[in-house]
Amino acid sequence: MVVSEARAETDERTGERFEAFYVREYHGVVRLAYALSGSRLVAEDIAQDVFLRAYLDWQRIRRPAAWVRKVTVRRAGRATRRRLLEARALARLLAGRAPAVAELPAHDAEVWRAVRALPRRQAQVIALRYVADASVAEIAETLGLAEGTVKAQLHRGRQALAARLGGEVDDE
Amino acid sequence: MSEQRLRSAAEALRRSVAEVDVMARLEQLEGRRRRYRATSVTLAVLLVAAVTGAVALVAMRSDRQQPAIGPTTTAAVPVTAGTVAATIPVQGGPSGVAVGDGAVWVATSGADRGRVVRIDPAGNKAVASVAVPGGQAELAVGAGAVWVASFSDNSVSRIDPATAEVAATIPVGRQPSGIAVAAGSVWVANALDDTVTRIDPAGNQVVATIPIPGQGSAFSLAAAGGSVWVSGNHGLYRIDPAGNRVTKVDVCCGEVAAGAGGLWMANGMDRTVLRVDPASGRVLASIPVPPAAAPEGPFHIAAAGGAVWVTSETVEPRPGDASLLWRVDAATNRFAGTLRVGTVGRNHISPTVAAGGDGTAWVTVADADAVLRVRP
Repeated sequence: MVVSEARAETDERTGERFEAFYVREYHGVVRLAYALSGSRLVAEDIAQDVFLRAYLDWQRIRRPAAWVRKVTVRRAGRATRRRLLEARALARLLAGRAPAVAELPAHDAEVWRAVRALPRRQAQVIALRYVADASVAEIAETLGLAEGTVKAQLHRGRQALAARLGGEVDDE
Repeated sequence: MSEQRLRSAAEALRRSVAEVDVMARLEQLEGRRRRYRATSVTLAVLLVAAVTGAVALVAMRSDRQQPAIGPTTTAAVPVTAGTVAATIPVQGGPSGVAVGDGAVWVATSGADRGRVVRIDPAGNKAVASVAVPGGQAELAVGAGAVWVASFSDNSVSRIDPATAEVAATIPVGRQPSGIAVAAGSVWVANALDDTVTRIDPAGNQVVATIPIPGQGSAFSLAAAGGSVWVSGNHGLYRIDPAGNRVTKVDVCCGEVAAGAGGLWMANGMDRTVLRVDPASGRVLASIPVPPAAAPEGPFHIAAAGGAVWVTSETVEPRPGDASLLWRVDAATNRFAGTLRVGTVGRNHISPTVAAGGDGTAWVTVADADAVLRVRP
């Protein structure tokens, strides 16, 4: 059976099984991928690709939650990657499978579109902050940046978003 | 205000993803993992065979971060990229275009059977059309033929420009999405296989299949400075046509085009156009394109006659979203203007562009079933 095979794969450091990790993290990773790729079709493709890599390397990845987020934000922001995924997702759609992720209301979609128009680093930190609810320290660790850099990127990103979406800057 | 909107947009995201069945996805992942393991074993066997056959396969891994080059923002100046000199109706969702042999060649996507349409630039009219296999296609003109790489048919069709008939169909790798003619060969980037197929046009035969290191490494392809350049997620690779040797170049990431005195990359990640020296592989200039609210990109790129043209990308468009064309002046390496070329519908097909030697751009707008001729 499929699930029992998954159970056998445990992370020795935390004792966590891949299955439990996947169930806990999957939705969050799809959200990140959707926010940064702009496509609900592509979001699940990215998430599954990233989790597949995590699964294959399960024994070697030390902090899997940070690792899947890092790889997801990198992949979701890559235009060339999106092109392939877009085609793949379209082929699936033509085969009659609709996306399981529901479409965002226009008002909210506009926000993520504005985030994607930011310089890549800013888009990544904004997505990690708001979509993954990560702290400055967690974002710094995930992206391998100094905390000061994360703060500065967050600040600039918020400013740019305020300019684009209207309203003043809220810097916590 | 923006803080509140971000939080409510994050909440909306949570709701839209909440219904996805995680356990069903886990089972799918299990299936993929098993298939992957099976493939890895096959690949390992092949690799051993290849090595004992004294063939060196260099597997380069690259997950490096691209250093930021130049500024990523610029003042949005409302200058126009050009004017639309003609709008040529082409039915069937035009989604690929190339200029050559005294004509403009346009591929339409159709449902599962596409067409290639020949446009006479003297009259701005479609004058011939031929059926080709598969959906979305990329085209190249050279070696006495028009070559059409069909995305979904995994083949390249050779069209005789005189008769506008398919003379041969050559199987290549999966999802051929970049094509160019250079060094007496036709070169095809196979996106799903991470390979480049080299075709000898004399016999319409595949003479080499060249692996490009890394997953998702072969989407786009161009020929400049005596080399073939392959672009994908891991940056740029250079193929020496003399021995098909592949070397990595430190430039990342986006579609590439040759012309207007250089090699150019549409870097959608940083919203820049990069000018690459085809001799050294170095970035000579990083040219920001102004941020536009709706569309993303730059995505497709073409260069000729002193102009570099790039188009916007639409990942999941809404009806009414704008499609944009940007122009870069190759003489000054500066952004030269934006032009709204149409809107995008639900067909997901972004505008594509080809550059003419006289400095004009030919732009496909799938949603409008039209090809635009744009003068700077």
